[in-house]
Amino acid sequence: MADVLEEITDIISKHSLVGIGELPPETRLDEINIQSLDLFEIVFDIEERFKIDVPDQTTAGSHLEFTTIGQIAEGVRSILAKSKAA
Amino acid sequence: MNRVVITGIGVVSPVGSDIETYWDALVEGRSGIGPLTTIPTDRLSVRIAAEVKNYVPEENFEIRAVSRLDRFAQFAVIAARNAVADAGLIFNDELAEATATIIGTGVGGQHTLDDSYYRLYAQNAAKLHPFTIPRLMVNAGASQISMDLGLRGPTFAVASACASGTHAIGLALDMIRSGRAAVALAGGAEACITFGTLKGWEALRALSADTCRPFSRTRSGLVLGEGAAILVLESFDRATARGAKIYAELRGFGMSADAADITTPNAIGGAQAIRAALKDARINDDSVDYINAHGTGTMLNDATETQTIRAVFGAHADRLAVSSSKAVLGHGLGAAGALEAAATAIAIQRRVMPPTANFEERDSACDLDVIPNTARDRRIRCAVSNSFAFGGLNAVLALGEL
Repeated sequence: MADVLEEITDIISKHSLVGIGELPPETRLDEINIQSLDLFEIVFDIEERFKIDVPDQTTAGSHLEFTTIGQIAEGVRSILAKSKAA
Repeated sequence: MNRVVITGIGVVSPVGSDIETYWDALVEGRSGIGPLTTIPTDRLSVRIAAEVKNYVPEENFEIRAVSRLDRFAQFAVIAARNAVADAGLIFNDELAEATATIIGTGVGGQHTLDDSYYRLYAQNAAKLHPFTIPRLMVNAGASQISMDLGLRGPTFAVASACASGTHAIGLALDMIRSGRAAVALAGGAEACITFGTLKGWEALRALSADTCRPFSRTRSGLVLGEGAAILVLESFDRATARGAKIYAELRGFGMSADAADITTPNAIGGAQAIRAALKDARINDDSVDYINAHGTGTMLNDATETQTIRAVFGAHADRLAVSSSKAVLGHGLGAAGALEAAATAIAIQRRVMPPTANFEERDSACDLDVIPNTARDRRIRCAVSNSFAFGGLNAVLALGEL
């Protein structure tokens, strides 16, 4: 599997219509016109791409922080690590 | 009570999505029916439909919006945009609040439903797309139009199967008459040519395997269609004050329920709705020159509709002309009545009666003047547009020249 950060950047690029080259890890989603509805789709795409379950944000133990692209990648890595350990 | 006129028309249809192409196809009897292209046909016994052809969502919506709108809602929005442009309307804050959006739809987001169930049942997917519900809801068309155009007045969907679009226009007429809305976008949208829906229609044995030939002795059933049509309605005073082009006056609306059979049409219920529309419009039977028939091309509908028209008009039934647009458009279900009301309004404006295309042989059970295959240049003082839906729900519009 390609680098998690690259994959996440690709998904965010698709939803924000901002080129991959202009999306460094510190990019905040609220800076690139990502709205709440987009977030639902982004989570859905992440789950499909990585074959993981992203817990609801209200669920305790959520590992996805959705402020920056880097944080999402970090959260996905942590979910992937847990599922490997399990 | 305000007089109500039609000042804008927008369509998405199997024969084109601008008014001129649409109208030319109807007048020339060029059918939009053809082999199915949008779904796999290997398990279908009926392999034709009147599809909206070469439709590319991304040409009409930004990529993010495409995943939020079912095909039927996309059609609704495009038709609404076209209708507003045609009417030359510009919405300021006040008008946006006073504009109603009433959209008829038979079944809602069938593509979304079909795709979702395929994922769940056939592919054993664990999850569905997050917009599954907002895409498939039957009011999605009305809601997406209001969001796209910023219209904030009374907005809702109407469902009465094949009469949905007609009911929507009739309700909008009442709202403009009463002053509840200043302008209304009213019509219908449907896109339910999916594998699942077609299997359902196959089971009903109402579909033709070759084409749709309304009122012809050789007719063999209906052909499913899809699309959308939206009319812009406003009061005569408002339209003339702003110098708007007027297609026709929407003069009356009648509706009824057969209270009899869920699929078999009934001449009594249909006649009641036509009479109600004429009474509402204050039109004498003998000033009706043209009827745009429901004319589905099934044995039963066309014969029953003939009896219905004879019951209402008596001797005048032999002097008026009747045609069905479904040979060209297929049966657009919730969109059908709106597509046909649009055709009727243009016919009045241009003084041309569109023909019944695909006509082969007269049937003694359909012994009306059905304008076989060739359009007529003829003034239309008043016209009636019939929709007789499954569920025994009838809706009839009466239109007239100004």
